[in-house]
Amino acid sequence: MHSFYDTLWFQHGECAETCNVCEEACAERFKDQIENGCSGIKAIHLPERNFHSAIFCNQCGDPVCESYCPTGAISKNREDGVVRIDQDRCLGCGLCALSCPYGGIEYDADKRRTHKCDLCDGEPMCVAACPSETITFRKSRDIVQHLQKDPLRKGTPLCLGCPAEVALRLTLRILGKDTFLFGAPGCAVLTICGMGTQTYTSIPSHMTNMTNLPSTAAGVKRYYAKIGKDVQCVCFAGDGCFADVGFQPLSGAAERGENIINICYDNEGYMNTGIQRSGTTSYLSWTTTTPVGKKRQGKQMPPKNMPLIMAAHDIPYVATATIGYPEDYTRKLLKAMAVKDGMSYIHLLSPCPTGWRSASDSGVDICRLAVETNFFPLWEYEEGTYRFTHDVKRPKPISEYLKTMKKYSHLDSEKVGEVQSLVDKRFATIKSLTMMR
Amino acid sequence: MPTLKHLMIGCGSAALSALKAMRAQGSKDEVTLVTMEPHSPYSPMSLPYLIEGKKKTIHLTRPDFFTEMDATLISEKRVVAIHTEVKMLSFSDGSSENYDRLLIATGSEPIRQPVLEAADVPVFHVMDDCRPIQALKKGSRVTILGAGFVGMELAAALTGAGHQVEVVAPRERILRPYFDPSLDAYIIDLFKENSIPVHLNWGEATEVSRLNGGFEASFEGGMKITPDLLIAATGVRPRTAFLEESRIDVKRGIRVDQTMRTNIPDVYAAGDVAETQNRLTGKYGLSLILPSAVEQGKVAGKNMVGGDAIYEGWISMNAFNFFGHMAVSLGEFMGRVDDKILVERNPEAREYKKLVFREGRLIGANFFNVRVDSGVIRHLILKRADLTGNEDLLLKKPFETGLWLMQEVERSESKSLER
Repeated sequence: MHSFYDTLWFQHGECAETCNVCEEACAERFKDQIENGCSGIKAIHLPERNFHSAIFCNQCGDPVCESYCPTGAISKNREDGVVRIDQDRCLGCGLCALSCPYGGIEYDADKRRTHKCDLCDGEPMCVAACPSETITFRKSRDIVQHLQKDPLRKGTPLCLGCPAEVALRLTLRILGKDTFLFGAPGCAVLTICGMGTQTYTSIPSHMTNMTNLPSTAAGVKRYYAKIGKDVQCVCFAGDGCFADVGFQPLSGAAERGENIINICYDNEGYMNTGIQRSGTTSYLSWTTTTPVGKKRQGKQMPPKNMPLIMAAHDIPYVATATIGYPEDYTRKLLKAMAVKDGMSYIHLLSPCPTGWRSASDSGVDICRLAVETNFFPLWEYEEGTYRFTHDVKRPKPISEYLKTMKKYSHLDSEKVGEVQSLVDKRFATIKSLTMMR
Repeated sequence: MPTLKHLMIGCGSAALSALKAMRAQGSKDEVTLVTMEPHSPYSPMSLPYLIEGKKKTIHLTRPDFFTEMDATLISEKRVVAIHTEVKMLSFSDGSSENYDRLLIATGSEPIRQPVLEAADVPVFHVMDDCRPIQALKKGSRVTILGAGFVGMELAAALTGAGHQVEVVAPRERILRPYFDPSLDAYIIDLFKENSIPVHLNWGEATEVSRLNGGFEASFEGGMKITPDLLIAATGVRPRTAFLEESRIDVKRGIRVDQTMRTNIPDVYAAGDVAETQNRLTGKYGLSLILPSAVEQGKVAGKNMVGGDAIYEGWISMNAFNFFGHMAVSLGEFMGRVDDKILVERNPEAREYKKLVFREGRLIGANFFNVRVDSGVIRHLILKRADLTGNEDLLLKKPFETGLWLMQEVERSESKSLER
């Protein structure tokens, strides 16, 4: 019975002190239907408690307003999840407003009229109007319609709270059947290849060496192409394999135009073998091989910009993604799957609670912060053009991101400033690329 | 498990809610609803809107509802007795019907004093009661006996329909169970401005007779009236008369436990007919409102098909829209001496706010002409949220503060879930 719907997502209490933009935008939309304007979203300012927010309908799964309405005028549409009021049946009694615990119903006592948010039928005006990203529209439905049976068993040998597992599960559910999964030594390999005689996946999966991962996948793909079957060969490996040890075969496969999908879950180091630094370990990060001592604190070199390097191969599709934005990742994976004339590469930032020394329940939050601070901008490279896929209107300072994990706990404000400069510089680079024509 | 045969007496909000809950639980059992009315389901609270004439139809369900729900609705059939020992119902037409599980959701019925009964003064309770009222010529003089919410809403609706209306209250109060006495004056003034005199302290009717197609009535206070139509809105009681021989425990209503079971196995009750616990005080009582019927029906329906739902009790809640002015009543708004009671009034704007706190928790509220999300305030009462330190702010800015507190409550709840 449970369904996913597109939803408005709100960072409560994070609005600017006098901002009513969302409410005004909503009233503007309804002004032709309702005199004097009436909004489905209400801006709330309570300076006494420093609370600045907005309230709107949650589009509940089992709406109280629907069950209390004395004329059955309120109903939840099971297709799009929106709770709507049929004005022809509505008495204007206001019982819905008395029943809604969340302030989701606007009741005009004078006109005896109820009004509520209908998500603007998929294009919310409040989201477009919001000057920050306090209110966003999450298109969960986009993902769900592509989800297939989960081929990955429940319970894997990965660490508690590992976002790579979530990413792999989502990836496999989108890829669906006729998929061959390839891995190389690394955290995910046990999940991919199983232990002993037991596997964790119900699709064919195989472990190669680090130095022949894309080559093996390309061979399998070519065989099936030769016998006339369209299968998907997907390599899912970490940064240690793709960016360092196994870079040559990746680069070679890209250049040869092998029709395989490569997904690099970048946890910024060799986490499986004891948290050593890798070519993508971020600037000033602590690892066991870039310790914090008197002379040096953390890794002294900036990481290589792996997705840009892959884009420079001019393959059909390259993208960055995180599971903090699953709808964005899903779209990109679908694009990668649609490529039939060459290689596609997705660089997936994948926080490592063990190696980054972050809380096990913070993986998704860190993914989102990485995007919100421009540390890890979401972009794609397609047919020679770079494009941002997620516009960050008001980037947060990098300190917000750094403070969520202990691998940066040795940084003083000067060092934080250095990281910020690097983030700004790298963001400027990708931005300049997106503006190229 | 073999499918069971469920019977429901009544097809109002409680029964429909039970039916929906059964199907939501995935039950494929046989369900039959029996109603004495000739109409498809409706809520009595919609009837004033029908009188006012702004709505042509007020039905609760769409025509294909019972087909979709795979249930049968039998209309115009009145239950006269329940034989619980053999699990059978007898109907007034002499027929009978067996059940495996029974839901009694017969709602309430109007009460009239003997003198009103003798003159057969019309009541206003079910859809058929609307007919003589709708047949009135525009501009008719109508007197309503009783100043409870049925009487007051009906008076407002009749005025909207173009009649000359007056309300007679036997004693000094109007809307007694819902509002603080200090609100009476505001509401009476408001009615007066809309050409509805509300007469207080007239006492009970002593003599009532039909006169030239109209009525003549005298009162204890000596007053005498001759309206075209007299309507008795003098209270309701649970409709339980047919249960006398049934061994089902009836006090003020049918006594049920938190699972909505009566004292007899496989017999459930919900809605106006059931006597349940007040969520705030734990005392048994009647809650004659639609939300309680829906909640109770839901619990009964779930449990009838093998669920283990618990009814947490009701709180009093009502909202009245009098001529565009909103009056909201929630919970234990009268309070006790040891409660913290905050009141703010603005007589010129006819604004009134009253909040009652017990041990830091909001237990009741009255609002008149105040911008407030009443559902949010109700939520704060239901959640038993500790509002210590925020009482005055909630009084000063109930709209903003209510929403802020609701956010805080929700946030702390989701945090404790994470733990």
